[in-house]
This record gives sequence, structure tokens and C-alpha cells, in this order.
Amino acid sequence: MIAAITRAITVAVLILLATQVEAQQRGAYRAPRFPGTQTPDLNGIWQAVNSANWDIEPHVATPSAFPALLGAIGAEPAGQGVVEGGKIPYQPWAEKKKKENLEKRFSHPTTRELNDTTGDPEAKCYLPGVPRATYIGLPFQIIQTARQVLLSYEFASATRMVYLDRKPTAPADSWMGWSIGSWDGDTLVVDVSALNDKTWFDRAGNFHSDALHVVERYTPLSPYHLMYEATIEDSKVFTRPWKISMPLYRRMEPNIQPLEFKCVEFSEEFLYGHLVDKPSK
Amino acid sequence: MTGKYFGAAVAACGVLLFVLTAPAWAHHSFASEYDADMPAKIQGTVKKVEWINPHSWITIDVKGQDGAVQTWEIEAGAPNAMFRKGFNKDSLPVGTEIVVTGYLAKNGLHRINGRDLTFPDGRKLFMATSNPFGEDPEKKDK
Amino acid sequence: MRHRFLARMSPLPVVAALLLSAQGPAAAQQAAPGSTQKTAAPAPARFVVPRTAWGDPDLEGVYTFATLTPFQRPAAQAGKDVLTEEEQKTLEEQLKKKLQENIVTNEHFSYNAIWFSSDEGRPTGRTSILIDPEDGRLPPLTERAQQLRAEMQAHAATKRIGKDQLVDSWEDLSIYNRCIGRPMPRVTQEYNQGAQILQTPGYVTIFYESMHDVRVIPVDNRPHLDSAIRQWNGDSRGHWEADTLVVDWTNFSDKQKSDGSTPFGGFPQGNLHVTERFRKVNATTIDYLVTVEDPTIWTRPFTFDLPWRGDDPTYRGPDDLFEYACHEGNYRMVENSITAAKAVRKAQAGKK
Repeated sequence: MIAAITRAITVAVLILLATQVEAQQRGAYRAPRFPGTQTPDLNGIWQAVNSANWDIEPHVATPSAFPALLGAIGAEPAGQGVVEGGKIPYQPWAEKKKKENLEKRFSHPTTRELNDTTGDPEAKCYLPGVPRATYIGLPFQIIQTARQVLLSYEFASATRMVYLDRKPTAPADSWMGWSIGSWDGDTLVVDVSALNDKTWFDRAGNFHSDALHVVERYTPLSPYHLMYEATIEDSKVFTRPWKISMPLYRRMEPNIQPLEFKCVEFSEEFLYGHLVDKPSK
Repeated sequence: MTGKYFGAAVAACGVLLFVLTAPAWAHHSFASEYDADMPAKIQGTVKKVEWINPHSWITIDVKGQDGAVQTWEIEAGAPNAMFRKGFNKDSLPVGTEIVVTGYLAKNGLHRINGRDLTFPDGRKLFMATSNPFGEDPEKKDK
Repeated sequence: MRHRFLARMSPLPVVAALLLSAQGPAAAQQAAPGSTQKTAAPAPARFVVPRTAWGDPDLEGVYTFATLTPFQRPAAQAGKDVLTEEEQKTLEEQLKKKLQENIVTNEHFSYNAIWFSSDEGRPTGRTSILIDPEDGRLPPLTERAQQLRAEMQAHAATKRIGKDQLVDSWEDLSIYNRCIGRPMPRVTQEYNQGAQILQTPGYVTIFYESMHDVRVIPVDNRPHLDSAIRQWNGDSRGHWEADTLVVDWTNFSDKQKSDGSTPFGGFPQGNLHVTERFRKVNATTIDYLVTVEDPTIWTRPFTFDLPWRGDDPTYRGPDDLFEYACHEGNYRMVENSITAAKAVRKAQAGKK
């Protein structure tokens, strides 16, 4: 009887040690579980730290669009790029379109048609879409329950709902897309579809069509890091799928909370200034 | 067609426990955009439907008496409630003939608010509890 | 002051009324069979609030706070607070009939009423959403507020020629029409009155369908943001009192006037202090009790009671809360309004 118990305990201990060794060999961090589930708890405030929002491809430092007004403030820092392989695989027509986007990125929309087709939507305080919302430069909060994940971004108070317990169909396209989530081990996988064609990937004019399909992966690496990966496919614009990746850092200040960046009022003169006889200022 | 002003219509029917006034939240943007004294009725084929917030927009091609085609934009409501009823972005196919009554935009652009949206036979658009272009076996004339 | 109010107003009639409106036939079962009582329902069976996996009261769900009950008590109902079961039923039938008429005649709305038709909600069981002061009317304004109101009205008069409202710049639009925000606290709107409550350890999060606003409310006794930080949606801090979530809401910006669609009057909210109480009263209903005070605007606080219902047939789950990308679709509306104002002013100048 005692021998049997000892055997059982030994086996249990050995199994425990084996998993720990395996984990150490893999370098895998095992995040605490969300209460009542077997899935990791990704709740918290996270932020990307890079210059991807300026340009997701490798880029050098450049002056701001208005150096006489702003000097070094607003200048673009260099970045090693977050696109795996370095270059976005555009189709030839799309390569030209990207250059045109870049040239016209700060153009004011003087008609509705122009507003729909030209200029960086970030300047207009429009919802940034996926994946740009992740690295647009401000923090976001992951509010994760057993059945869904709410992603709440400080930029423009953008939000996305990720469904974990259902797979409904999108009734129409939207700026932040339609997100169906699932778990692959400890990785949250988010399949994003029904994105409209009005968002950009960055300030450099990198764009997509309404055929965009993004698959994101959020993997806990440590108590303070998530690994963020996003696979992009859009058969109208690119020659093949491509991928970006970057770590996300937990904002660990005590009592940290995302504040408001409700930028509509910052964008109104940019959008509508040409309509008024006398601007407000 | 007489112009009717959108004011508060007070419901007075029998033993009414509430005086049902129109909500005090009269839609501000209507008063600034459209002219309640300039009613209009147009008929055309659907060219584009934007199921967007805060207002959906339906663009239609209207053939004038001279044969020239004018493009009109119709401002409608927020789509969220329609989606909850089972409508979606395919619920109003391009090429559908619709009749719109509403009020003209004050700025002279070909814009009208979609007060009443109907098929040419008088049936109201979106009145059914589900997508009329979905499971309905009846073939729609386009 | 709030505690004094709570002692005076017994919660039972409120809960009973809510249960009546929320449960329909079930409420009839709760009354003694064969009873011909015309007074408010007897005390309901005690509802046990479920708990989350970490032991907090569970308020999670998708709700709508739509109702046709007016914010303030109409003059015709002066002196009457709670409706009897019979009056309640008659009113519901009348409202249903009115709804159908609205859709047919489109009498009340600028756009085809079908776009709003699912958002009428059900009556709350009272004659007004406002329950304190006892007359169901907002308290008197302070002198400062009366001054502010006069200034607002004078300004509004400069933006009107006859029936035409003039929008010379985006600043002449309400905060709501500029797509910056909706009134906070939220009260009845025309449409999209959905909200979802999500809970995680240490937080209660409210996601509002309209303007996709999110309030992440810590329930861990941390202090408010520094008073220098002012936000359109203020700053919220919660704690539990038995099964009730009590939220202290401050740090509003003076820019927030809750205008465009508000019962509060459109005053700057920099001094606003709101206390909310959320309590699950049955499996699908939250009793949302809110006290609002701003001694620079109203001469005393006021309280309103607005049930959040989770049994609406069109708000079944989170996927029923479609993205409300408002600013992104607003170009045409602003363009229309400003160019219309120019056309009206030009026509006016032409007449002179």
C-alpha cells in the first residue's frame, strides 16, 4: 500500500519535473490562467515600442512634413521595420498607388470623393483598422473574459470585440473589422475579416483593399511581454501573404489607465476647414 | 404634395396615460441640412448602398424626363437596428428600383433624406422582419 | 444627502415595478392566484445574484436601456409616480400601437422610422425616469446656470433664421453630431441604446454601442485621476456594497455638455459628480439608479432610475452591437450642414 503510494508520488513528481524541464527547454513562459478557465490571462494595458506607425518597412530618419513650423518635433525616427523579409510584396499597380498615397498623405479632402480615397486616415482621426491600431503609438487595454475579448485602444477610443464563444457572420464591413478568436495552446488567435478599404498600415501610405484578411497571434512571453504577430493577405493588392511581428510591453506603472485621445476635435479643421468662410482661429 | 412640417405630433387617443409627445431629441442635423418645406419624391435604381454610421447612404440613378440620368444620394438611418433584424450589406441589391420621398437638401446638392423608402408597388423597404432578398422564394424584378 | 434620499424612497416599489415590466406573465404568477389587487405587486421572491469565477456579483450581459418613459414627469401625470399593473399593460398596448403608426406614417422622425423601430424599449413602470425630486421634475437652476442658459439661448438665436438652423462651422454642431460623444451619464437616446457589461478581476467594464465608448471601472479602491485631468467621459471608480456596484464618477471636462440629445440641459460638466448604482434584480434586468449633483448648476441633486434590460429580442449577444463608426461617416453631414447655412444666408441677403 505504502509502496503503491510512494510509486504514485514519484511518478507525479517526475512528470512535474519533466514538464518544467520541457518548458525551460522551450523557453516557454506559462502565464497565470484567467479564473475559471484553462486559458492564459492577457488582461492588462499593453503598448508597442517602435516606429512602425511611421513606416512598417525599414526606414531612415526624415524631417517632418512641416519643418519650418515644427523643427525637429514631428520628425520621423528611423526604424528597422516590422515586416518579415523587409519588403511588402505589392503587385506592380499597388506599388505605384503606395507612392501616390505617400505623396498625398497630408492632403486636405476638399470633396467627399477625395476624402474617401486620399490622405492618411490617422490625420482625420479615423479608426485605424487592424493591425495599425496595435502599434499606432498609444497604449491599449485587453479586457478578456472567458467568452470574449474587448480591445480598447487609447487612439480615437477605438474598440474591437473578439468573439471566443461564437462565430457569427459580419453584416457589413467595418473600420476595425470582424474578429473571431480562438486559442492555440496559450496563443490567442484572432481571425479578422470584413475590414473596409479605408485604413492604412502606417503613415507611409501602405494600404490594402476590402479583401484584406488578417490573422493575429498574441502569445504571452513573460509577465510583461506579449509577442504580437499578424499575417496579412489581400489578393487584390499583394502577390502573396506576408507577416509583421513585434513585442508588446505591459504598462506596469501602478494605477496605469488608458486616458482619452478623442482626436475628432483635433481633426475638424483639417477635414472641414475648406468649407467655412472664416476658420475658427 | 403638400409640405408637412416635422414638429412634435401629440398622440391623443382615448385613455392615454402618457401624453406621447415627439421626443425632445428632434434630430438636429435634419433641421440644418434639409428643408421641410421642400418635399420631393424620386424614383431610381440603386447604384450603391453604404451601410455605415451615423447614417446609411443609398445612391440611386434617376432618369429625368429628358432621358438624362441624375445621381441622387439618400440619407437614411443608422444601420445597427437593421442588422439586428437580420438585414445585411446584401439586403438592397444594386439595380433595385426604389421610390423615395423626403425633403431636399438646402445646399442644392442632389441629396434627400429618405423619409419613406418603398418599392414601386408601394411596399415599404425593410418592412419585413427579415431580408426580403434572402430566403424569399419570389424572384424580384430588377 | 444621497443616503437621506435612499432612506426616504423605499426600493421595494421600484423593484416590484421593474419585475412587473421585466417578467410579464411570470409576474402574474407571483401575485396570489385569483387576487384582484390593484396596488403594486407584493414583495417579489428574493433573487440571488450569481457570482463570477472570482466571487464578485455577476452583472455581465448585453442590455438595452431603451424606454419610451419620459425623463421628466409630464404635467398630465403630476402627482403620480408608479403605475399599477393594469395601467402598465394599457400603456404598453398603446405604445405598441403608436409604434406601428409611427412606422406607417413616419410622423416623428426625419428618416424612415423603420431604422429606429426596434429601439423603443418598454416602459419602466413609472411616469418618469427621474424619481427624485418627488415631483419627477429637474430641480431649480442656480443663478449661474440660469445665466449660462440665457447665454446659450442667445447664442442659439444667432444661429437661426426662421425655421432654418445654421451651422456656420463644425463648432455649431452638438458634441453628439460632431461624433465626439454622447451624454454621460447615458439616458434614453433615439437609437442604439445597447450596452455590454464585462467583468474581469478588479474591474467592471461597460461598453456602450453608441460612440463605441468604453468605461473600464476599477473596483479596487484606487484613487481618482488627478483633478487636473478632465475627460469627456470623466473618470470612474467603483466598489461593491453587497450585490450593488457603486460607481463614483468625476473628472468631467467642461467641454462635455451632454448636448444634442440630452435631458440635462446642455451645461458644461466640469463640476459634475455622479453616483451610479448597478444591481441585478432578476436574471435579465439591472436596476440602474443614478444620482447627479452639480451645486453650480442645480440647487439640489437629482436621481433617476433606468432599468437595463437583457431580454430584448434584438440585443441577444455582443455581435448585436455593430461598430458605431460615427466620425468616419460624418463628412457628408458636416458638408451638407455648412453649405446649407451658406445657401440660407445668401438667400437671406438676397431678400434684403
